[in-house]
Amino acid sequence: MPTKFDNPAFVDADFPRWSEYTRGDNGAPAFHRFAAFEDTVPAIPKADWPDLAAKIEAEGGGAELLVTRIMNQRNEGSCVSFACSQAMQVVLARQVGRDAVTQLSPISLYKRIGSSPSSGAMVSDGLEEMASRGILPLDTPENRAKFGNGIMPETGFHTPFPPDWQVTAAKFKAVEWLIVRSVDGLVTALLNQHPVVVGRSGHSICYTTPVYKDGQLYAQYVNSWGSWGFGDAGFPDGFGLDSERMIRSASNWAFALRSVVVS
Amino acid sequence: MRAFLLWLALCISCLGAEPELVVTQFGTASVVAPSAPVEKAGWLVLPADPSFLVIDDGKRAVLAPSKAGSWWVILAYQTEAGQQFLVVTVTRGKPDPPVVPDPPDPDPQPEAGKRVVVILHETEDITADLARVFTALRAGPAASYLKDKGHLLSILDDDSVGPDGKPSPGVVAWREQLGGLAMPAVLIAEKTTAGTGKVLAKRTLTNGDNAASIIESVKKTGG
Repeated sequence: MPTKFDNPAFVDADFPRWSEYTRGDNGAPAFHRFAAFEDTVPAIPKADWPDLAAKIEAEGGGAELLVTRIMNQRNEGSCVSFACSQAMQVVLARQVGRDAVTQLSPISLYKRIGSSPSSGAMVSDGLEEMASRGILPLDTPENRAKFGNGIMPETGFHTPFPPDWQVTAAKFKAVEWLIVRSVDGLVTALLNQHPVVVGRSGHSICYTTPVYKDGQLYAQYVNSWGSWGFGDAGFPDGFGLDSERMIRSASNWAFALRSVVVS
Repeated sequence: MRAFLLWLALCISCLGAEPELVVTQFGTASVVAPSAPVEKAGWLVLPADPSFLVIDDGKRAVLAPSKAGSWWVILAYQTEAGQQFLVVTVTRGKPDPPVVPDPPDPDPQPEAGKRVVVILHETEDITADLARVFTALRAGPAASYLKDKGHLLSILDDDSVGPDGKPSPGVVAWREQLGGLAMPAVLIAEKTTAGTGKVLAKRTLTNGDNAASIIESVKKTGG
């Protein structure tokens, strides 16, 4: 059976070299006013990481098992809103269950943090917007039946907002999150199975799970490039791995999502 | 007649044959009578007990304790020498054995049905261990069991808020159901067509809990 490490192309992926890449992460903010994970949650000692990661693996996996859809941003620079939406869906899956997750429309978030289809956005802007006004449900038959016109597609920067979209989007807001500023904080958040939205190499992804191979730490993430990457959690593809070197560059400014609105 | 009795008593007294109290048991009643006639007899039962029936015809007393126990029965009677007393102890059988309720059914079978399962936790409760429990409940055998049985599981932060930013009414209601139980805790309630019914079980989660032990708690309620 193939493992996550079988295709080295999906380990420390050099995003700009892939055809799916559209620069979308515009870097870390110079200033921010959010609480830091490292100041709030005691870091799990590094010596304990391999054992705890092994326990996650022994139980079949971590937060990647809460992924309910592999998203596809296509050729828009909307990776930040896709990573934010994925993180929210992971937390929703934990709160209400995989089958009850409301699939979300990343473009409904990107329209507020990007200035054009390819402008990209800052992760901090994605966080602020998903916390203040939320994300709309995805245009699916189930969501149409439930939310009427308060839905949007997955992509399409120029798609107009539906009337009164704020009312529906308010049901899908981030409530508790913490800014991650270090590898220790990031890995602690992942061991506690909080999805972490990061940006690196101009691309934003959602880290889900710490993984070890040959004593080396990796972070598994879910990408937003459709059928890209290796398969896991019942999906044929969609996932990649970052080594500690990449984790270090991604942990400069990231956020761990802990809870979302309960409707 | 009275003179005769007095004479008889005096005779007995003179003979050194003072009357004694004789107790005869009839079922739960005791008949207490002096072995010789006495004059101006009166009965006193100690300790006083309103449920203690005394039927006194002046010659004997029928004592019917309503419960097991021991009493002193004092007969006071008059002689020329003055007032005399006789004391006897009346005991009704052995004390009633304690009421032993029927032994509980060793494995009571609760009414089977769908359940609403809620795990309430505080933000700081989330550790690596508890997070694994949560994920195992959402994916794998435990999740399949809950789904197959039609149970509904919610894993909620105790200070969750709704779209308006105010505490989620649903979460507040569950928190009240805790009744002081420490978090993280699991509550298991009936699932009704209207939503949630009676809470059937609740307990604090411990470090030893895992997805299987939580499922076992659900099964014990018939779920």
